[in-house]
Amino acid sequence: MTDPVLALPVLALTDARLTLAGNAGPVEILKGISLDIAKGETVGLIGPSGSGKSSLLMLMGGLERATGGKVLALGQDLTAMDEDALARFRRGNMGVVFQSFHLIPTMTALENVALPMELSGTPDAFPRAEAELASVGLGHRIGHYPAQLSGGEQQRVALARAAAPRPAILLADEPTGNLDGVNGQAIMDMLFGLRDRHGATLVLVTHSPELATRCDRVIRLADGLLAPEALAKAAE
Amino acid sequence: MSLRSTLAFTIARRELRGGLRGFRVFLACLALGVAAIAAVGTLRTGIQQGLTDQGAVILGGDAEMRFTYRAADADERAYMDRIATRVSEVYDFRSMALIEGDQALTQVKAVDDGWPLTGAATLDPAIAVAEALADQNGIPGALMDPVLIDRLSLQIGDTFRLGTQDFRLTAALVREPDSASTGFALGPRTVVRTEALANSGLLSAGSLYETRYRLTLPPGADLQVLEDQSEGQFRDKGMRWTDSRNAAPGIEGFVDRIGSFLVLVGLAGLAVGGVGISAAIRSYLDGKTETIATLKTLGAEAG
Repeated sequence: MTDPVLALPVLALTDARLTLAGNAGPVEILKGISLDIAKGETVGLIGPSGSGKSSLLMLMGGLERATGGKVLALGQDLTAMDEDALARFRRGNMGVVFQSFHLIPTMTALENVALPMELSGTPDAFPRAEAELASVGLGHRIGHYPAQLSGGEQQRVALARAAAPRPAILLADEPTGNLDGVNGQAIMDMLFGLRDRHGATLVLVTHSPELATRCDRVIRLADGLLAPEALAKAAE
Repeated sequence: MSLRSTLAFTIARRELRGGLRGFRVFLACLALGVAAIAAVGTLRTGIQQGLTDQGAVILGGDAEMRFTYRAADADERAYMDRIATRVSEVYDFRSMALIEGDQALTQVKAVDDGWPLTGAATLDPAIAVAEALADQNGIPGALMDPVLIDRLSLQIGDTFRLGTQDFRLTAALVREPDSASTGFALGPRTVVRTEALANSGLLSAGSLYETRYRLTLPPGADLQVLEDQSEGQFRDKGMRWTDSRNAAPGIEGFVDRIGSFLVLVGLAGLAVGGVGISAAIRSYLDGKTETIATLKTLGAEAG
């Protein structure tokens, strides 16, 4: 018999909406998204620019607050949490990788990777960070600052930072968008490798059809809504 | 220190590796404003301290009893002799210094043998005050401010007239020790002996003059008690009391007003600098917005 808790989706969105205020009036970004993502699943979010992919990812990570509907992560209602509660929730459960890396420039690679574990009070934050950096091939660059690293290396540090706390959910927003083909391929291999190693649920925003085909499921967005074929399995 | 505080301190320390570049304008504005106000305060305190320390010299005695259009009467002189170890009488009035074919306004100080009770007058040539004011061939001596000497084109040894009395210029008055306490003067100073004015016709009924009695008090005299006592007895007769605690109220008032003005200038500078400070902080925080957002994404709380 299946454990009902394990059967719960890791991410569950019900009629999730996002409207942002603009100078010319409110702008409806997401117009009612209902979606379940299962534990361990890898999901690719695709769609044209402005379709709401990144905004949907931000809702899933509690980095944007839904203006309507519900967003549940690991069974917890993100729409009911305040900023600090969301931060505490992300701390132990989510890793986020951005297109622009978003490393902290005044911290070394090792400090950047150790930071989320320091924030959650993990006692062996630095040894774990060092091991994670070694796993992405940067064991020899732990003392370097972001400005001393190439774009590909910075994204590898960002990957290590997202994966080191062993989060249940990995969110990646166009992680290869700022990288050339070779580095982009290497980063994707590492991202899927980390996901396989830690068993996390991976939600990935991408413009690359090739990358999307590596996911268990591809969800297409168009104009703030799920496209009709959204739930089609991508990689057969 | 809690774990949270320790971590906050650790992150702040790492952030400071970026240096204080963004804070330079802020720090400069703050330093300039505070330095201006502190400098004004220090200057004012220094001047006031100097006035307090040199009060007796500036005043020309430990205390002064002043009368307008009259000299002290016998009762008042007896009182002064009782409370003071030494008393010096000074007459102060305006007159015209006359020479053949010319004249100039002067502020005359007529003094006795005790002048100056404190401090020392600087004369050119450097002779004693008593010698400078003494009679020679029946003509009393006089001291004059160099400005007045130049104005009247006098030479040492030349004679001039105050009222109907001739005087002989014996020295230039380079420094007058009690000038700061005299207050407003309409003309440069001339100093003569009071006795020498007896035949001048200047100090008679209806003349406009002040008399100042400088007192040297016994060591340990309580100035406040003496002030209260003197004013209690002679205030109604027109006596005004000044002592070394506030020897030059005009100067102190001026310093206070200038000090307040400069503090206002400093504060205005700080207010103007506030715009720079605001811009500097905004610029610094703009630079840190991404870092703050990243920290929140990684699980940092606000407080």
